[in-house]
Amino acid sequence: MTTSQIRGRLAGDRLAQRWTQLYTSRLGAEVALERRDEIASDVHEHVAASAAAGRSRAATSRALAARMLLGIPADLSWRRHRLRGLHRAEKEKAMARHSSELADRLASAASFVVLGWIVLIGVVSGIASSRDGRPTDWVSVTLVVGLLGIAVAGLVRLLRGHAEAAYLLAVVALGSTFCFLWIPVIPLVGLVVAGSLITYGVTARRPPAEQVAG
Amino acid sequence: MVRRAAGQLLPLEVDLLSAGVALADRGEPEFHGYALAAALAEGADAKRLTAHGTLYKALGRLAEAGFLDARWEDPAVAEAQGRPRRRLYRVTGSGAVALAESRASDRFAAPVSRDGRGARRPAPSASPA
Repeated sequence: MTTSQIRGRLAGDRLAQRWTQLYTSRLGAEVALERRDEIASDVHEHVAASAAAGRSRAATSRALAARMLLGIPADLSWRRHRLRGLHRAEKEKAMARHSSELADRLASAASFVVLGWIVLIGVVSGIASSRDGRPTDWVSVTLVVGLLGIAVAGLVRLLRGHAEAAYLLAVVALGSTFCFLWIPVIPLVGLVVAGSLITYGVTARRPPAEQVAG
Repeated sequence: MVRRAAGQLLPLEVDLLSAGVALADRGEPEFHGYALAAALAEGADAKRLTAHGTLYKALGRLAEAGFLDARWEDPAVAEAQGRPRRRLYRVTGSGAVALAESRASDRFAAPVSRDGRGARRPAPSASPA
């Protein structure tokens, strides 16, 4: 009679396998499979050794059941430990996802601010020159249209997931505020917007810590 | 849950490492969980083997601490022999050092009998910790 034939009849074996299935549930496929395989291997070796030693099937079954029952507190403690680790990992993943979404929203908002700012410069300087009856300042128009084009291109690229476009928008934010150097608050706002866009560009392009470690 | 100081081995962990070193000395540097449980019971002259939960939890702790190396054997080997795959353990260098340190501190801490010899550690228990 082979070991597997003897094993099929042992209640202690079935009990150990069912208990293992139960306490490894919801622990993640890999962890559960490894523990189940380890117990299956242990039970197999136990049955084989008992059969080789000439022990009765009933005695082997009792021994298996006793090993299972006496190990329950340790199994439960091991499960608790594993579940805690699993919850911690899920929580960290959710937090990372949340902060990444927040950064994306902030970067988009900053880009729209830059875009709106350039449009405002164009409109205000257009109205001012027409009201004063001055001839059109083509240098300013070229500058505004150029910055506007770069800002639109940067925004489109950023919305398509190209984080490096944030650098382009930061340059536009700084460039457009140079027109108002005599009003200190405007270059300051430009610096803050450019700074936040650069920070976003750097952090969004950096691979996650776990990938670096792996 | 058992509390202990960092780096200090629990009695069951000392017994497992001792059994692992003994198996290695016998020419079995790699061993599976059941072989270790059987060696423990044999050494302690116990009738009952260490409980599954107690044994594998302790082995997991020792592997996490780097005192044991663990690997799954080639599934083809297990399949050829018609049995489930085994997880094979090996006592690492740091495991051997930790065991030696634990034994040394036990000897140091053990009460000295009238004839000047240190008290022996009790035989490892087969029941779960």
